[in-house]
Amino acid sequence: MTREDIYNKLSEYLVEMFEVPPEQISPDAQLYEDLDLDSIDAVDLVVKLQDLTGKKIPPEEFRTVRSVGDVVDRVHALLAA
Amino acid sequence: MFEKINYVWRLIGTGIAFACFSLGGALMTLFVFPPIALLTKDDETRIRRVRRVIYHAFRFFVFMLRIGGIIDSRFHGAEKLSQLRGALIVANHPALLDTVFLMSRMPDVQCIVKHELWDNPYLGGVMRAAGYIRNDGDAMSMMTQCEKALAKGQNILIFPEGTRSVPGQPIRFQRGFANIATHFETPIQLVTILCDPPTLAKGSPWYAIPPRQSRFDISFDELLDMSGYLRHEPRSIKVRRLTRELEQYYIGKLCHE
Repeated sequence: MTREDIYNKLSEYLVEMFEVPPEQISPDAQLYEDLDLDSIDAVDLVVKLQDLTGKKIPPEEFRTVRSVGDVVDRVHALLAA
Repeated sequence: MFEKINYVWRLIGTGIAFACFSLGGALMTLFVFPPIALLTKDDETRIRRVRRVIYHAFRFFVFMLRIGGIIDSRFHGAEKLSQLRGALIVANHPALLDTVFLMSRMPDVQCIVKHELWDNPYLGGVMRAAGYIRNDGDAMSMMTQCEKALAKGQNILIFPEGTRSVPGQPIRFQRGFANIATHFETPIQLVTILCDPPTLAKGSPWYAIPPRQSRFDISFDELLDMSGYLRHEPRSIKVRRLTRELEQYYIGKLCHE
Protein backbone atom coordinates (compact mmCIF):
# COMPACT_ATOMS: atom_id res chain seq x y z
CA MET A 1 0.00 0.00 0.00
CA THR A 2 1.47 3.34 -1.01
CA ARG A 3 1.12 6.55 0.93
CA GLU A 4 -1.35 7.72 -1.64
CA ASP A 5 -3.50 4.60 -1.25
CA ILE A 6 -3.58 5.17 2.48
CA TYR A 7 -4.42 8.84 2.05
CA ASN A 8 -7.27 8.04 -0.33
CA LYS A 9 -8.69 5.37 1.94
CA LEU A 10 -8.44 7.67 4.95
CA SER A 11 -10.21 10.46 3.06
CA GLU A 12 -12.96 8.04 2.19
CA TYR A 13 -13.39 7.10 5.85
CA LEU A 14 -13.44 10.71 6.96
CA VAL A 15 -16.21 11.51 4.50
CA GLU A 16 -18.26 8.38 5.14
CA MET A 17 -17.94 8.02 8.88
CA PHE A 18 -17.52 11.57 10.07
CA GLU A 19 -19.32 13.57 7.40
CA VAL A 20 -16.24 15.65 6.70
CA PRO A 21 -16.71 17.74 3.55
CA PRO A 22 -14.16 16.35 1.03
CA GLU A 23 -12.80 19.79 0.20
CA GLN A 24 -11.65 20.23 3.80
CA ILE A 25 -9.38 17.20 3.69
CA SER A 26 -5.70 17.88 3.13
CA PRO A 27 -2.51 16.41 4.63
CA ASP A 28 -2.26 19.43 6.94
CA ALA A 29 -5.87 19.35 8.14
CA GLN A 30 -6.04 18.89 11.91
CA LEU A 31 -8.34 16.04 12.91
CA TYR A 32 -9.69 17.64 16.06
CA GLU A 33 -9.73 21.30 15.17
CA ASP A 34 -10.34 21.46 11.44
CA LEU A 35 -12.28 18.25 10.85
CA ASP A 36 -14.23 18.31 14.11
CA LEU A 37 -13.43 14.81 15.32
CA ASP A 38 -13.41 13.95 19.02
CA SER A 39 -11.54 11.29 20.97
CA ILE A 40 -14.35 8.75 20.57
CA ASP A 41 -14.25 9.30 16.81
CA ALA A 42 -10.51 8.69 16.94
CA VAL A 43 -11.12 5.27 18.46
CA ASP A 44 -13.57 4.43 15.67
CA LEU A 45 -11.01 5.54 13.13
CA VAL A 46 -8.30 3.38 14.68
CA VAL A 47 -10.60 0.36 14.52
CA LYS A 48 -11.31 1.08 10.88
CA LEU A 49 -7.61 1.43 10.09
CA GLN A 50 -6.90 -1.84 11.84
CA ASP A 51 -9.41 -3.53 9.58
CA LEU A 52 -7.73 -1.95 6.59
CA THR A 53 -4.17 -2.88 7.47
CA GLY A 54 -4.84 -6.09 9.33
CA LYS A 55 -2.45 -4.83 12.03
CA LYS A 56 -3.10 -4.01 15.63
CA ILE A 57 -2.69 -0.29 16.29
CA PRO A 58 -1.86 0.46 19.92
CA PRO A 59 -4.01 3.37 21.12
CA GLU A 60 -1.06 5.16 22.70
CA GLU A 61 0.58 5.25 19.30
CA PHE A 62 -2.37 7.18 18.00
CA ARG A 63 -2.58 9.66 20.84
CA THR A 64 0.03 12.02 19.38
CA VAL A 65 -1.57 12.01 15.96
CA ARG A 66 -2.90 15.44 15.06
CA SER A 67 -3.22 15.85 11.31
CA VAL A 68 -4.36 13.76 8.37
CA GLY A 69 -0.71 13.57 7.28
CA ASP A 70 0.26 12.18 10.70
CA VAL A 71 -2.25 9.35 10.32
CA VAL A 72 -0.90 8.47 6.88
CA ASP A 73 2.69 8.46 8.23
CA ARG A 74 1.73 6.30 11.17
CA VAL A 75 -0.13 3.74 9.09
CA HIS A 76 2.60 3.69 6.47
CA ALA A 77 5.28 3.06 9.12
CA LEU A 78 3.16 0.31 10.62
CA LEU A 79 2.81 -1.48 7.30
CA ALA A 80 6.53 -1.16 6.60
CA ALA A 81 7.46 -2.58 10.00
CA MET B 1 -44.04 56.38 37.56
CA PHE B 2 -45.00 52.84 38.52
CA GLU B 3 -42.79 51.50 35.77
CA LYS B 4 -39.83 53.46 37.10
CA ILE B 5 -40.31 52.17 40.64
CA ASN B 6 -40.74 48.64 39.35
CA TYR B 7 -37.54 48.96 37.34
CA VAL B 8 -35.53 50.17 40.32
CA TRP B 9 -37.02 47.46 42.52
CA ARG B 10 -36.09 44.75 40.03
CA LEU B 11 -32.61 46.20 39.67
CA ILE B 12 -32.05 46.12 43.42
CA GLY B 13 -33.65 42.69 43.68
CA THR B 14 -31.45 41.32 40.91
CA GLY B 15 -28.36 42.67 42.67
CA ILE B 16 -29.39 41.07 45.94
CA ALA B 17 -30.19 37.81 44.18
CA PHE B 18 -26.75 37.74 42.54
CA ALA B 19 -25.03 38.43 45.84
CA CYS B 20 -27.10 35.78 47.64
CA PHE B 21 -26.33 33.24 44.96
CA SER B 22 -22.55 33.56 45.15
CA LEU B 23 -22.52 34.04 48.90
CA GLY B 24 -24.92 31.16 49.34
CA GLY B 25 -22.60 28.90 47.36
CA ALA B 26 -19.61 29.92 49.48
CA LEU B 27 -21.49 29.62 52.78
CA MET B 28 -22.78 26.18 51.89
CA THR B 29 -19.27 25.07 51.00
CA LEU B 30 -18.01 26.35 54.34
CA PHE B 31 -20.81 25.50 56.72
CA VAL B 32 -23.22 22.99 55.20
CA PHE B 33 -21.23 20.53 53.10
CA PRO B 34 -18.44 19.82 55.64
CA PRO B 35 -20.85 18.62 58.35
CA ILE B 36 -22.66 16.51 55.73
CA ALA B 37 -19.32 15.00 54.74
CA LEU B 38 -18.49 14.42 58.38
CA LEU B 39 -21.75 12.68 59.14
CA THR B 40 -21.95 10.66 55.92
CA LYS B 41 -19.38 7.94 55.41
CA ASP B 42 -20.73 6.64 52.16
CA ASP B 43 -19.76 8.83 49.19
CA GLU B 44 -22.92 8.16 47.24
CA THR B 45 -25.17 9.11 50.13
CA ARG B 46 -23.11 12.23 50.78
CA ILE B 47 -23.46 13.39 47.18
CA ARG B 48 -27.17 12.69 47.27
CA ARG B 49 -27.55 14.77 50.41
CA VAL B 50 -25.51 17.63 48.97
CA ARG B 51 -27.67 17.63 45.84
CA ARG B 52 -30.76 17.70 47.99
CA VAL B 53 -29.49 20.81 49.73
CA ILE B 54 -28.81 22.44 46.36
CA TYR B 55 -32.29 21.48 45.20
CA HIS B 56 -33.96 23.09 48.22
CA ALA B 57 -31.78 26.19 47.95
CA PHE B 58 -32.67 26.60 44.28
CA ARG B 59 -36.33 25.99 44.96
CA PHE B 60 -36.31 28.71 47.56
CA PHE B 61 -34.32 31.02 45.28
CA VAL B 62 -36.76 30.57 42.39
CA PHE B 63 -39.68 31.12 44.77
CA MET B 64 -38.15 34.36 46.07
CA LEU B 65 -37.49 35.67 42.56
CA ARG B 66 -41.10 34.99 41.74
CA ILE B 67 -42.87 36.39 44.79
CA GLY B 68 -40.41 39.28 44.90
CA GLY B 69 -41.52 40.18 41.38
CA ILE B 70 -37.94 40.04 40.12
CA ILE B 71 -38.27 37.23 37.60
CA ASP B 72 -41.37 35.17 36.97
CA SER B 73 -41.20 31.50 36.06
CA ARG B 74 -43.68 28.86 34.93
CA PHE B 75 -43.13 25.15 34.52
CA HIS B 76 -45.09 23.08 32.02
CA GLY B 77 -45.19 19.31 32.25
CA ALA B 78 -42.70 19.15 35.12
CA GLU B 79 -44.71 16.27 36.59
CA LYS B 80 -43.05 14.07 33.95
CA LEU B 81 -39.90 14.27 36.03
CA SER B 82 -41.27 12.05 38.75
CA GLN B 83 -41.36 9.11 36.32
CA LEU B 84 -38.05 9.84 34.68
CA ARG B 85 -35.11 7.51 35.44
CA GLY B 86 -31.77 7.18 33.72
CA ALA B 87 -32.59 9.78 31.10
CA LEU B 88 -30.74 12.63 29.52
CA ILE B 89 -32.41 15.96 30.16
CA VAL B 90 -31.54 18.24 27.29
CA ALA B 91 -32.35 21.95 27.21
CA ASN B 92 -31.53 25.09 25.31
CA HIS B 93 -29.66 27.70 27.30
CA PRO B 94 -30.81 31.30 26.83
CA ALA B 95 -30.02 32.66 30.28
CA LEU B 96 -27.84 32.39 33.34
CA LEU B 97 -30.65 31.09 35.51
CA ASP B 98 -31.66 28.11 33.36
CA THR B 99 -29.77 25.63 35.49
CA VAL B 100 -31.29 27.05 38.64
CA PHE B 101 -34.83 26.74 37.31
CA LEU B 102 -34.31 23.20 36.07
CA MET B 103 -32.52 21.98 39.17
CA SER B 104 -35.21 23.48 41.39
CA ARG B 105 -37.35 20.61 40.11
CA MET B 106 -34.78 17.81 40.38
CA PRO B 107 -33.73 16.59 43.82
CA ASP B 108 -30.98 14.22 42.66
CA VAL B 109 -29.68 14.98 39.21
CA GLN B 110 -26.25 14.52 37.70
CA CYS B 111 -25.14 17.47 35.68
CA ILE B 112 -22.52 18.19 33.06
CA VAL B 113 -21.13 21.60 33.90
CA LYS B 114 -18.83 24.08 32.24
CA HIS B 115 -15.36 23.49 33.68
CA GLU B 116 -14.80 27.18 34.49
CA LEU B 117 -17.18 26.84 37.42
CA TRP B 118 -14.72 24.59 39.27
CA ASP B 119 -12.37 27.57 39.50
CA ASN B 120 -15.11 29.94 40.62
CA PRO B 121 -14.31 31.01 44.19
CA TYR B 122 -17.97 30.92 45.25
CA LEU B 123 -19.32 27.97 43.32
CA GLY B 124 -16.26 25.74 42.90
CA GLY B 125 -16.88 24.09 46.26
CA VAL B 126 -20.47 23.34 45.31
CA MET B 127 -19.37 21.65 42.08
CA ARG B 128 -16.91 19.43 43.94
CA ALA B 129 -19.29 18.55 46.77
CA ALA B 130 -22.12 17.65 44.39
CA GLY B 131 -19.91 15.41 42.25
CA TYR B 132 -20.89 16.96 38.94
CA ILE B 133 -19.17 16.12 35.67
CA ARG B 134 -16.77 18.61 34.09
CA ASN B 135 -17.25 19.29 30.41
CA ASP B 136 -13.57 19.68 29.57
CA GLY B 137 -12.45 16.16 30.32
CA ASP B 138 -11.67 13.55 27.77
CA ALA B 139 -14.80 12.37 25.94
CA MET B 140 -14.15 8.83 27.13
CA SER B 141 -13.92 9.66 30.82
CA MET B 142 -17.08 11.72 30.52
CA MET B 143 -18.83 8.65 29.12
CA THR B 144 -17.67 6.51 32.04
CA GLN B 145 -18.98 9.06 34.54
CA CYS B 146 -22.30 9.24 32.74
CA GLU B 147 -22.55 5.47 32.64
CA LYS B 148 -22.24 5.38 36.42
CA ALA B 149 -24.99 7.93 36.94
CA LEU B 150 -27.33 6.25 34.45
CA ALA B 151 -26.75 2.86 36.04
CA LYS B 152 -27.96 4.32 39.33
CA GLY B 153 -31.08 5.55 37.60
CA GLN B 154 -30.07 9.19 37.88
CA ASN B 155 -30.95 11.64 35.16
CA ILE B 156 -28.24 13.73 33.59
CA LEU B 157 -28.84 17.37 32.81
CA ILE B 158 -26.92 18.76 29.87
CA PHE B 159 -27.03 21.91 27.79
CA PRO B 160 -25.78 20.77 24.39
CA GLU B 161 -24.73 24.30 23.48
CA GLY B 162 -22.00 23.99 26.11
CA THR B 163 -22.62 27.54 27.26
CA ARG B 164 -25.36 30.13 26.98
CA SER B 165 -26.73 30.91 23.51
CA VAL B 166 -25.24 33.91 21.79
CA PRO B 167 -28.15 36.32 21.20
CA GLY B 168 -28.96 36.73 17.53
CA GLN B 169 -26.99 33.69 16.44
CA PRO B 170 -28.46 30.31 15.52
CA ILE B 171 -28.13 27.59 18.13
CA ARG B 172 -25.06 25.36 17.75
CA PHE B 173 -24.94 22.03 19.58
CA GLN B 174 -21.85 20.13 20.62
CA ARG B 175 -21.93 16.36 20.20
CA GLY B 176 -21.38 15.26 23.81
CA PHE B 177 -25.04 14.63 24.58
CA ALA B 178 -25.46 12.63 21.37
CA ASN B 179 -22.43 10.51 22.23
CA ILE B 180 -24.08 9.59 25.50
CA ALA B 181 -27.59 9.09 24.12
CA THR B 182 -26.59 6.88 21.19
CA HIS B 183 -24.02 4.86 23.09
CA PHE B 184 -26.20 3.99 26.09
CA GLU B 185 -29.50 4.31 24.22
CA THR B 186 -30.49 6.81 26.86
CA PRO B 187 -33.95 8.32 26.44
CA ILE B 188 -33.85 12.07 25.95
CA GLN B 189 -36.26 14.37 27.75
CA LEU B 190 -36.49 17.53 25.70
CA VAL B 191 -36.89 20.78 27.60
CA THR B 192 -37.49 24.14 25.99
CA ILE B 193 -36.71 27.30 27.90
CA LEU B 194 -38.21 30.54 26.72
CA CYS B 195 -37.37 33.81 28.35
CA ASP B 196 -39.34 36.92 27.53
CA PRO B 197 -38.11 39.60 27.50
CA PRO B 198 -34.56 38.24 27.30
CA THR B 199 -32.49 38.70 30.43
CA LEU B 200 -29.13 37.52 31.78
CA ALA B 201 -28.11 36.44 28.30
CA LYS B 202 -24.54 35.74 27.34
CA GLY B 203 -22.41 38.85 27.30
CA SER B 204 -24.81 41.07 29.21
CA PRO B 205 -23.98 42.18 32.76
CA TRP B 206 -26.38 41.46 35.63
CA TYR B 207 -27.57 45.07 35.87
CA ALA B 208 -28.69 45.22 32.23
CA ILE B 209 -32.23 44.22 33.17
CA PRO B 210 -35.12 44.48 30.68
CA PRO B 211 -37.69 47.32 30.84
CA ARG B 212 -40.40 44.95 32.08
CA GLN B 213 -40.25 41.84 34.23
CA SER B 214 -38.92 38.71 32.51
CA ARG B 215 -40.84 35.52 32.53
CA PHE B 216 -39.32 32.10 32.02
CA ASP B 217 -41.45 29.35 30.51
CA ILE B 218 -39.86 25.97 31.05
CA SER B 219 -41.61 23.21 29.12
CA PHE B 220 -40.93 19.52 29.47
CA ASP B 221 -41.77 18.36 25.97
CA GLU B 222 -41.29 15.00 24.27
CA LEU B 223 -39.36 12.06 25.62
CA LEU B 224 -37.30 10.56 22.80
CA ASP B 225 -36.80 6.84 22.86
CA MET B 226 -33.29 6.21 21.59
CA SER B 227 -33.35 2.43 21.42
CA GLY B 228 -32.82 1.42 17.84
CA TYR B 229 -32.16 4.97 16.62
CA LEU B 230 -30.74 4.70 13.08
CA ARG B 231 -29.90 1.10 13.89
CA HIS B 232 -27.99 0.43 10.68
CA GLU B 233 -25.80 3.50 10.66
CA PRO B 234 -22.31 3.61 12.18
CA ARG B 235 -22.00 5.21 15.60
CA SER B 236 -20.29 8.34 14.30
CA ILE B 237 -23.13 9.00 11.86
CA LYS B 238 -25.85 8.45 14.48
CA VAL B 239 -24.18 10.95 16.76
CA ARG B 240 -23.91 13.58 14.06
CA ARG B 241 -27.44 13.11 12.77
CA LEU B 242 -28.91 13.29 16.26
CA THR B 243 -26.95 16.45 17.03
CA ARG B 244 -28.23 18.09 13.87
CA GLU B 245 -31.79 16.89 14.34
CA LEU B 246 -32.04 18.37 17.80
CA GLU B 247 -30.34 21.56 16.71
CA GLN B 248 -33.06 21.90 14.08
CA TYR B 249 -35.75 20.99 16.59
CA TYR B 250 -34.70 23.81 18.92
CA ILE B 251 -34.22 26.31 16.14
CA GLY B 252 -37.81 25.54 15.10
CA LYS B 253 -39.13 25.73 18.66
CA LEU B 254 -37.51 29.06 19.34
CA CYS B 255 -38.66 30.82 16.21
CA HIS B 256 -42.28 29.68 16.39
CA GLU B 257 -42.97 30.69 19.94
